[in-house]
Amino acid sequence: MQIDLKRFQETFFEEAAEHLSTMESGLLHLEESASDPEFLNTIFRSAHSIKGAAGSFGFTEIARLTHVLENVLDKLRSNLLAPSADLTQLLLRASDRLREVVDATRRGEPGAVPIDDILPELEAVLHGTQPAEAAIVATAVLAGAPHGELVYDVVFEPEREFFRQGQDLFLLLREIGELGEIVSSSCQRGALPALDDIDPELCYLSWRIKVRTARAAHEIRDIFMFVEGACRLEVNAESIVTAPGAPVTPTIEAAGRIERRASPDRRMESTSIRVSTEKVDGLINLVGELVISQAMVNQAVSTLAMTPALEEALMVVQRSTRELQEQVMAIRMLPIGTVFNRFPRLVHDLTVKLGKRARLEIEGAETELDKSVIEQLGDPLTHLIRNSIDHGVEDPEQRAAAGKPEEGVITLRAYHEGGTVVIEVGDDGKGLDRERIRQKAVSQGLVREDQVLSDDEINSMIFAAGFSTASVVSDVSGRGVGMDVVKRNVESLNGAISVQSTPGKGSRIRIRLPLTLAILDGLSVQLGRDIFIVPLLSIRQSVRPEKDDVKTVLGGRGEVFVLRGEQLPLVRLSRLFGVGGAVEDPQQGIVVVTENDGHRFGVLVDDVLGQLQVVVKSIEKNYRKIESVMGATILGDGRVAFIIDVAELHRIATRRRVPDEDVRTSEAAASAAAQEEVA
Amino acid sequence: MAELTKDPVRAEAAGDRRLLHLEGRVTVAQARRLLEVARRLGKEGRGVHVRCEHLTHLDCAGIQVLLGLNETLRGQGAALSLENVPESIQQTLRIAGLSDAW
Repeated sequence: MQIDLKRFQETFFEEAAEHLSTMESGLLHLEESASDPEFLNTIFRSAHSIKGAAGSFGFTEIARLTHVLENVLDKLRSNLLAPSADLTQLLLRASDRLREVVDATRRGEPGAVPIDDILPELEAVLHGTQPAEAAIVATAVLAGAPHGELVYDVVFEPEREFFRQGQDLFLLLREIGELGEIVSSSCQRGALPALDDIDPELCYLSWRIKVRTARAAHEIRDIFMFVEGACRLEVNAESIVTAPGAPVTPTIEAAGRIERRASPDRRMESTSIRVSTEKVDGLINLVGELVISQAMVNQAVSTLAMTPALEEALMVVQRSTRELQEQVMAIRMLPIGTVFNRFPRLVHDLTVKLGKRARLEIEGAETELDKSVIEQLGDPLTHLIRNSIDHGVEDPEQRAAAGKPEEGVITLRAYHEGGTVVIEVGDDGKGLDRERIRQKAVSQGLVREDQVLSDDEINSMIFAAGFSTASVVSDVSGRGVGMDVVKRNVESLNGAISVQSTPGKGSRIRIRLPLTLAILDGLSVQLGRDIFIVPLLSIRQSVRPEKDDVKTVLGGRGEVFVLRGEQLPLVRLSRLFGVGGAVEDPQQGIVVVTENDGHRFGVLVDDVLGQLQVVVKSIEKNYRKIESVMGATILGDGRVAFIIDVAELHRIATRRRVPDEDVRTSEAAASAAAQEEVA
Repeated sequence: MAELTKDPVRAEAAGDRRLLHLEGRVTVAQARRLLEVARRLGKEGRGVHVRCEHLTHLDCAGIQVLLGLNETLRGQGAALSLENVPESIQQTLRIAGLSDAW
């Protein structure tokens, strides 16, 4: 049986993506933080790690590019190169290219992305022939470079599990050879068992190597930085070989004994394991089944004569099941910083491109959300930030004229609010031009000229399909597509989006999301003999209608529910789903008042049964898409209940309505028409 | 007895000798396969010539198996030798202090 190399490679690709993110975040702060050695070390380590692992897998394109990139970073780290805006741009481009090469290699097309154009640029910087501003810092050379050669005694004892690092151990040894002359090398083979007892995945060898080099001790240690938690490493300066006419005393670092075993950080890392999401999802599914089974047991025994002991046991099982479910769900939770981290680069690139000045302030990056939610947030947030920079933040001159700092501020915040997560994208720019939005809406026939609209209603028009007030279409934004897609993306995550804006002071987009898509807090409602679940997040109240509270409109094609004088569109779930035996007289039923994107509407059901937490099962995966249904769940008695898609239901509730309808409700007629277009 | 196994690890008999052909990359991914073949060769107790002319990469996991086989053979009065080793691999063996291990 051969080892499945793909498993190791997949780990490499995942880790390479993380290292590339670290590099990119670091490079964005290169100019202001380059004086901090640890800062540069962090970027360097990322490049070095990618190079080492790529080499051992035979990914030559990745290794080639990273090797040169690493050398440039090393020169920066050694103060042989000064940071500059041009150098930052070059390194960011190189990092982008590396990401493309890694992606192509992952797809099995390692040569698909060329690197021969960017390598010479990096080489030029490396050899001091670059046109970039980065200059060789001669004084730093004098201060930092070693003056003669030393013989280092390097003791390298890999852990048994070393091969799981994905590093080719011999490549590390060869790198020592590249630093200078190998004086002697001794391989310790005492731990190698008899042939029959060898486990080919374990490492039994260790080394003692003497190398003569003019390089510093930390450069030898750097070779092993990616594996320092998986080996014992000693680097001792043994004797001094001075260059003619240049007697020197070894630095404290070089002369001292440097012994490192797993650092505290590495030990912490070893307490975590990388598990495929498929396995986690399988576990979540099983726990979901367990929750359902437990509810079924509860239901089954509820008809029996309960003894105190049985009651107690059931309570314990229920509590443990709930705790187990919470713990398992927590495995899928990731800090939202994993998606926020890509935006400093976006802001940097866009401001450079548009000639604007803006900085990104991030708050609440540690806020956790389900992985599947986070994965789908990247595109909508990217669009919102692009819009903020392109349309929100003014040019530096305009800002100065308005008495604002020339540098604008884009804020990205995340925080918990009542069992949901709120994400805000704000800017301190010019704010929405409501008059212009209104004019555009009139010209597009979305609203009537004489129609009275609130500020919020006008603001929400930016989410209508094809709506854009941008006079100039750029490749950044302003094509009139996007905000409606953003809205739909958010709604597909069972979330809601709204916008607030103050002229001259800026805008803030607010996205409210559930913590997870796998379980849902819902209200169970009865329709005939069937049960449906309405997401609790969307429910505002439940009301038993009085006589005349429900009115027919649109010549009998629609109904409204009058709630304290306000007329809300009404949907009869029984008619929508064709449920027989349901309540026909509204006074015999209950109207569940729900809200979608700030717009309320009523849902008529027979009865409200109570709140419950349900495990969401995909209908589409197991059957097909059903309109107005976002999924299904299995109830405690084994019955299947559909979970209502409130956003889609809202669309149905409003799609037959027109702006000049005589019913004036809190539903903006213009918004309804816009919804019609989206539909 | 001629024994044929699939690349990149292939053993065959050549009179009293046994030839072990290593080709391409022999790394931790192929080490288990190499170990299987090495154990069989070890049991035979004949001298083993490792033919490396088509070998492009040999990592530590592969070397360990060859060292283990060498020890086994020596215990039976036989030996293992590396033949036609490419320069890059020779250099690696030198740095790793394993040039004289065979």
